[in-house]
Amino acid sequence: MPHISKNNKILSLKNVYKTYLQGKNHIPVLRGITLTVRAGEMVSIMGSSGSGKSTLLNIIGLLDDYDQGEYLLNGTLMGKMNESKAARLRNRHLGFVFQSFHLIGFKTALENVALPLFFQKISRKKRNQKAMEYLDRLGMAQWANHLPNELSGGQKQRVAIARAMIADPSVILADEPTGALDSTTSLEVMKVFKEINAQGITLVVITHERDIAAMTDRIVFLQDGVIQTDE
Amino acid sequence: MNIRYLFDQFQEIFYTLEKNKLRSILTGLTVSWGIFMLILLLGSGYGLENGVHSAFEEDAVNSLWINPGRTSFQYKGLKQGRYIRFNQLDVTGLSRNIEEKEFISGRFYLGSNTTVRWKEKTGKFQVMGAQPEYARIENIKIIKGRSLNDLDEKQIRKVAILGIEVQKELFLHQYAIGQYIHIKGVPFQVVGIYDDPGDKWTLDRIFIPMSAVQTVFHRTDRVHNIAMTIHAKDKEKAVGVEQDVRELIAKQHHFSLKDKRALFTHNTLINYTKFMNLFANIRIFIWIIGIGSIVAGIVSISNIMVITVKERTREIGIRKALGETPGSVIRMILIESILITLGFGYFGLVGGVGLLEIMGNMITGIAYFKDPQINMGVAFGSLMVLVISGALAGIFPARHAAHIRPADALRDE
Ligand SMILES: Nc1ncnc2c1ncn2[C@@H]1O[C@H](COP(=O)(O)OP(=O)(O)O)[C@@H](O)[C@H]1O
Ligand SMILES: [Mg+2]
Repeated sequence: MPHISKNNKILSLKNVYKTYLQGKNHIPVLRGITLTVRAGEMVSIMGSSGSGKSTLLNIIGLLDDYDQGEYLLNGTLMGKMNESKAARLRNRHLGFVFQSFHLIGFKTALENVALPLFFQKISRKKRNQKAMEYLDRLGMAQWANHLPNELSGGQKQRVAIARAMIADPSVILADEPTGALDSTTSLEVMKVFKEINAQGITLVVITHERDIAAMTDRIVFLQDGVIQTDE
Repeated sequence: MNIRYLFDQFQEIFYTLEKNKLRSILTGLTVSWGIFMLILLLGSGYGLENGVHSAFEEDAVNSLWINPGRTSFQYKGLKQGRYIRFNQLDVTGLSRNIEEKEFISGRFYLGSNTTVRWKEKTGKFQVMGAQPEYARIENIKIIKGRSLNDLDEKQIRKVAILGIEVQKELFLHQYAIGQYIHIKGVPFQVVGIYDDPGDKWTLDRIFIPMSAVQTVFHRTDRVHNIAMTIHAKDKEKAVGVEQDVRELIAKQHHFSLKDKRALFTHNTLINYTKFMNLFANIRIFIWIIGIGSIVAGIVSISNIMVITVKERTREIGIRKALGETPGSVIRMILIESILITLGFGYFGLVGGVGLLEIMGNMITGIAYFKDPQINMGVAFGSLMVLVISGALAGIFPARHAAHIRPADALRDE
């Protein structure tokens, strides 16, 4: 992937359609999404439950495919591709943060953070070193050897954020990252995201909370699978 | 793929197995149990078979035992209930007329509780008159001195051979050869001591020449029953010889061939083949059970694999989102399954072989069971079958899990 400079269109969707098949019913979820995100932007996506926010984020994150339209990640068309290629692209360029954290329960905080580097075949010593560095940056160093169930929600999300950052992605995608957190913790997490964004990493955050969205540069409203407003 | 990364992958897999101990152990124990049972079954089956073989070492397998009975119906004017009695002529008659005869001897029971004295010591033993060839029929081993011979028989010598139990009891381990023992007050010289490795129950017997019993004690040429070995390689032949013997005696003693109570014959070759057939069947049965337990093992492994993989859908989704390829997921699950089946299978194998060893050492002197063993090729072969089928059984759920889209695996309910 070429070097990313500011104001580059890092994410570019044109007329993206996605329909789910449930039994015999076709459920149109995305009905023509056109959206551009520039490198270094911090965008929030809002919308009511079931409006297609997660579906959109999954398509952007190469966790799901789309039916029609075009999606370019940093100028490269992401069409139908095999899963191994998608896995490698996710590993190198994208970071994920989820509402329910999605930490692996039997692995310690450190091992969870280091996991993306394992898939890059980086040595244990190096990846643990780097994981420790990132945990430290997020103020979680002393929790490195704890299992996820020994951590609070806010701490888990910090671990998840460290994991999203460890492979130096150009984009971090967060699906309701504060959905399971109280408001104080939510604000702390958003502060962390702001800092990350300040380092030049593009952020797309799904939320349904106004004050969370207000902390981003730009808010995209989704309704019934189409973009309602983009402010 | 370099060595360090391979090592790293194994480390990751061992870590996963260790962190999910209960799951690993439950899967593994199914495998251990399957192999353990299989080895126990096959080993015990072999022990049974071995036991039967060695039990038949006691007597020649082709021996024929002939006992007179009582007529159960009238025949040619002779009344029902008549006792058939053998004498020495019957022995010579069979010896002459049965072509397949190998060794033959009459037997005369002096009594199973006969008082025998040596110096001041007395004991009660089974004393039996038999001809020299009898030693060959019973397969006894002379361990000291000599056996009875034709000259003893011809000259009506008052000599005896003792089972080692008799020697122990009467002579208290003192040297017995040449000593005189008194059987019902009549002195007999001990000429030999015998052992019978195949038959430990008949070592408290004393054999004396048939002619001596007949003249010294009873003044008759009566014979209680007759034992012989025959040249017969198969069951059909043995049955034929047995029939010839019956015909000959029926004619001699005037009873109907149809009279089942007048004469009892017992053919060990038929017995032996019966046993061998039985054991062939038991072997088949054991193999069916063994294969059954392997199949059960395979089924449980596949079930556990399906459940395990399902349980790990989310974990796999996370790993894929973070950049693990489907191929790597499948490899991980398969190596895990192989390590578990191999490790726990080996554990079950060692346990089974160990128990067989202990059984072999503890169970001695029990009829029809000896030296349970398992062919190591069969044991490791079964383990390999289980490992490979475990892996094959894991492939389908692993492939399925590896290809679930991360978006679906990670969806919150
Ligand atoms: N795999 C799927 N199969 C069928 N329907 C789905 C699937 N995933 C999502 N949907 C449906 O698509 C719609 C949008 O879902 P989603 O993108 O999760 O919405 P949001 O995140 O905005 O709440 C919902 O109606 C949901 O039920
Ligand atoms: Mg959602």
